[in-house]
Amino acid sequence: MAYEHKFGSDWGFMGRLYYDNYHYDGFYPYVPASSESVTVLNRDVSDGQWWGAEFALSKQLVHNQTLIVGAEYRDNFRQHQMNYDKQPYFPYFNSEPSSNLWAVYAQDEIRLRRSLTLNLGLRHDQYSTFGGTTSPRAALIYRPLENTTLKLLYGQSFRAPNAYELYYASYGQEANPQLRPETVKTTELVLEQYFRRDLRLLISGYYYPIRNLISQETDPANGSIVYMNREQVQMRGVEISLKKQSRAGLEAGASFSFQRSIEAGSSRAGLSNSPHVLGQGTLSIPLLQKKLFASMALGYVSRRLTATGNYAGAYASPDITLFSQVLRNWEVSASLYDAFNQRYGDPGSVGDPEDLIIQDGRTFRLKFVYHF
Amino acid sequence: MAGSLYSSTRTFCYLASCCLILSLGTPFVVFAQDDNAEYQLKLAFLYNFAQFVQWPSDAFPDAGAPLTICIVGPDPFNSEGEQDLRSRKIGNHPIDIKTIKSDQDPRACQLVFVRASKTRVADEVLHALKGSSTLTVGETKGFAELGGLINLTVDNSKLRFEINLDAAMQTRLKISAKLLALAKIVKVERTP
Repeated sequence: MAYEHKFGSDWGFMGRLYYDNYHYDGFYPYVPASSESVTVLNRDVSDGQWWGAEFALSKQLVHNQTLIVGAEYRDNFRQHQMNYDKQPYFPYFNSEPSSNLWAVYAQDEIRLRRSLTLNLGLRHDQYSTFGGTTSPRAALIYRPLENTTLKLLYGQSFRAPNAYELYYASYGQEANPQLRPETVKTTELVLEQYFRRDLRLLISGYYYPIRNLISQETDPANGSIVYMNREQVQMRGVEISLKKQSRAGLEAGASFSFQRSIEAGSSRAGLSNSPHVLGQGTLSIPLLQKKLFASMALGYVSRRLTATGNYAGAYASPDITLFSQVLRNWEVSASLYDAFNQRYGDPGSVGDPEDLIIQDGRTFRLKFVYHF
Repeated sequence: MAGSLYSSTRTFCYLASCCLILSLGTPFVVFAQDDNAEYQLKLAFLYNFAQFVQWPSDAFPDAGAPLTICIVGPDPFNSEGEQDLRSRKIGNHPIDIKTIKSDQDPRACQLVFVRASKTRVADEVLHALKGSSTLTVGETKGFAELGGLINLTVDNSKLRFEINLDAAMQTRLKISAKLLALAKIVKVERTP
């Protein structure tokens, strides 16, 4: 439920009220080796329900300033997770906490000069689980020429631990209700350059030091998995993208990103499943008066370190999609993934039986969407 | 970018946890040939047993009472490991570890660990615990056959355990099928 309204020429109001839920119920049969004839059914349930409200108020001030203030509240009134064996009955865990959070924020957009804009923001989040976090944000946007924009962005943000990481505890896994949020300070420099109206070049460089990364560790006391605020990770990289969009509906794009993630104080070559180079090329052609499109994408992923220190090989995988809006209210698409059937592999997680998980290879998908 | 950092899905975690625990019971658990490493691992096993065995509620004086692990004989565990366990909980029960003498009443303990020693001591302790809801864990050959519930065995530097299911049935303890799956089940021929 949302509401938006403008008062006069300089006031704006936005309000939203929502309710949401999630349910997961899984049955995992297993055979205890010692009694071959019996199958034990293990049941895994999670059930979440939450409601929330938010509002934002904006005001145009003199001297080309726009001030926005807002607040948010969310009540996670049901966060149920449990795991048990049905027969013979054995409960592994049953957790039913509830939590809530509220946040207030303010943002000010100041036009210092015609070509120079400064954005300042401050947000405070208060969680019932781990307390408060204050996150500042600033952006300086400079547009020296009609087709050229330079942006310098700085921000602090965090990711709160989720209910699974905090409370899930089953056979071989432990809860850690003491988990704290992981935080990142982002610094980014972006150059946006238009050549004519339909060709855009974007170059950005970033540096993201992450603290208290929530990672899966092994508890030495019993060999179980437990989530901990352990790693300090530094990510830095460069992204370049070029995009062309013609008036006839033709779209073409190419992007490359080079990135390096290192764990502070670690001698390892890098993080597992974190490629150094990603490339993507896309082409979309209108076939029937903007009603039928053919699109092709070629993705490239460089080699990635696996959990055991081996490498998953680099791959380039083409995908082809036909997309149509010919019928009223209907969207129909047909896709072909990994068109050359390369069956590349992705690294598994720590503790997985497979170091390299071979993917499905050539895959088809038909998709129908109906809009009411 | 972030996807690679938080890639584990629920199913992945489930599978991963099974594998890790399987590794506790089966050939993967290999330790160096020294007492310290062996008993560090044995303490981890005791902690896991306590997690995957359920006591009847009247086995505790109250709902928040400690789960007491009693060691019969000299204490072989390092104090660091014990201190770590004391900071942990099994359900609502904080863990306590203490040593008792073989002639002391072990019925107030939820888990009794009988050190490798003469079977006479094991026999005495098991006799004193008859009809109680105490989990008995030994490390002597033949401990399970004597009526002990779980016996830790070392086979080629690998730590394993055996469970006397008949003895377990006579108590009101519930043992997780996942724990049973990792154990060697010991059957005792009863004399008529």
